[in-house]
Amino acid sequence: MNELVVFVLIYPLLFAVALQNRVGKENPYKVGITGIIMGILALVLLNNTLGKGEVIAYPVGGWGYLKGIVIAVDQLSLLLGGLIHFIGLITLLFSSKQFILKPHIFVSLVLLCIMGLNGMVLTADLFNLFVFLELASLVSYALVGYNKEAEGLEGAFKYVLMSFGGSMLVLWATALVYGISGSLNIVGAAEAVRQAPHFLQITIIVMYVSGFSVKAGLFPAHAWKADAYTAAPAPVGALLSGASSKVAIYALFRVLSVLFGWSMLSDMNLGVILATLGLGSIFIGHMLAFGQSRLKRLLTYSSIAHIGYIIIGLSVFNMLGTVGALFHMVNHGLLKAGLFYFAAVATENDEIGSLKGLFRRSPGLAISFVAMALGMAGVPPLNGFLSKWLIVMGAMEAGFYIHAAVIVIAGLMALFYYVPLVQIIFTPSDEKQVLVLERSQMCVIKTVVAISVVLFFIGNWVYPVFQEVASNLIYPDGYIDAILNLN
Amino acid sequence: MELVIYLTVAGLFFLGAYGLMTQHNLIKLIICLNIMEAALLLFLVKLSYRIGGTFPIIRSGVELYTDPVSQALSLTAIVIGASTTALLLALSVLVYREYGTLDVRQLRRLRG
Repeated sequence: MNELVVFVLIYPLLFAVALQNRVGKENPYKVGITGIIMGILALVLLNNTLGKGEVIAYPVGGWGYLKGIVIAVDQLSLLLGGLIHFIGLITLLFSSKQFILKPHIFVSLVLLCIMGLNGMVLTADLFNLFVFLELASLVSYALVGYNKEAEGLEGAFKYVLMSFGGSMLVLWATALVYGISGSLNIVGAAEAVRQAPHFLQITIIVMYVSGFSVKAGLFPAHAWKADAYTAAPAPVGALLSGASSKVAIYALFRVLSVLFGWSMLSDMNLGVILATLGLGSIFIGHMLAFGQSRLKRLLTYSSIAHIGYIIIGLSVFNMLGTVGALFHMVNHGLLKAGLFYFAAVATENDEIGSLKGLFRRSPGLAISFVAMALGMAGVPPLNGFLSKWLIVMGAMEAGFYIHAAVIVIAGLMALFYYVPLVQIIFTPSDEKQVLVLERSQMCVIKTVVAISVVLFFIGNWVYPVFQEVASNLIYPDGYIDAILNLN
Repeated sequence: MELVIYLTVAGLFFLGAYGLMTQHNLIKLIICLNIMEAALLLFLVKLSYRIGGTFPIIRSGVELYTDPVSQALSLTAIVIGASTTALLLALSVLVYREYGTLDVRQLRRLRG
């Protein structure tokens, strides 16, 4: 069954190629969606073979972990993989209703992006991680500029200029790790890296943190995000903000936790530094979201803030915070994808002014928007509240009182920029024309809202599941042993 | 000698980064990115070098080889760099068609 891991890695490539033939060109979305559903099935099968706390380590080509490339799957990778596939599915469902030139190329680019992200989540090899990171980024540059409109090209160019610097830092850190330890496997390199001189350790950590935080759009390197996501076609915005930025954060924490271990990292005060960067992201994101006239731009700034929450949750280094952060990755990915969908179907040219009177024209859509916005701001009957609450509790437990307070206040700030939107939607306008949506479009948005309400009410059942997943990140011993047992 | 190479690597990398911050022409920015990448390629090749070692094909009578892994890494990094550069050049052609300029300061339709 372990060969399924290779299938999960490779199927998007097969489908991306298959899309270029005649059948693929005629119905690109059906082929793409079939591919993603197959991927989800493979993940479900993998999840069933994986017992509690188990890790599947698969040496590609049977070369062992010192020489070869190892693919390692635990529940954390499966959670992120599931998130990527789910967001990818929404993206394709969503783009099939948009006008997109040459859809077969668009769909194969989305599949390749999913392949890169999957690879980042599944691999246990540092250089392989870099290659998949570059695959995902290269495809995202192309996706951002896909429509070849002036704005998209400008956003894509700014994105590449910053993001390429981040990739180079990751490559440099990887080369340093290889130079120190002579192994590219995270586990194989860990021992030598832990005994390396202090300044080299600091250099590696700084390079990984800055490289991956550029990719995730964390505070000092957030500038590209606003331009790229605003200018990109709306489905691409959903994919990038829902999946890629989370995977970059996952990669950062996976690499650091296995390579150095939590205790060493907290001795270096990395938690405080990262949490402070997260605080900066929350502050900048929410401040800049005020007074935006374009909905996608507002949503992007809110994404920057939410990356901040996730970083704070992970960097307090305890169970509550980690569970909260992982849960928030899922919640934010889901709701943000829904909101980008809303931005694409409900506004004209992305102007917030064109939402005026939406409640009259399409009550279902208006109410869904209100629900999703409240979920983002963290208001109780929705899932966003639960995960924020867990992050706040985790921060309190670790003694990060200022961060906890800021998260609570930031929820209020978010309300302040969503409330005017709601006001505009409920203001009656002269336009009497009813906004007619296709049934499938309405269905996707309603599903997103329904899932987020359900996630709130089954929170008690969700928590232990996430606890198991989080323990994979906090105690990486199982992961290390599974790889060491290969030789 | 080793120190000289490491200093060259760091110098080239930060030269590229400095160029990214000070230059305004899109083509020059692309060149700066490539300088940064070249620095890292030099670093990878340095990692593979052993004094007195020969090329890594196992044959009788030879004990010391250079490290093939980091040479393979640098080849992969070259491919990635080349594809990014190709994409960037294509983007800059399209940008020139839309904006009529290659000056990055003129690209300011996205604001706020």
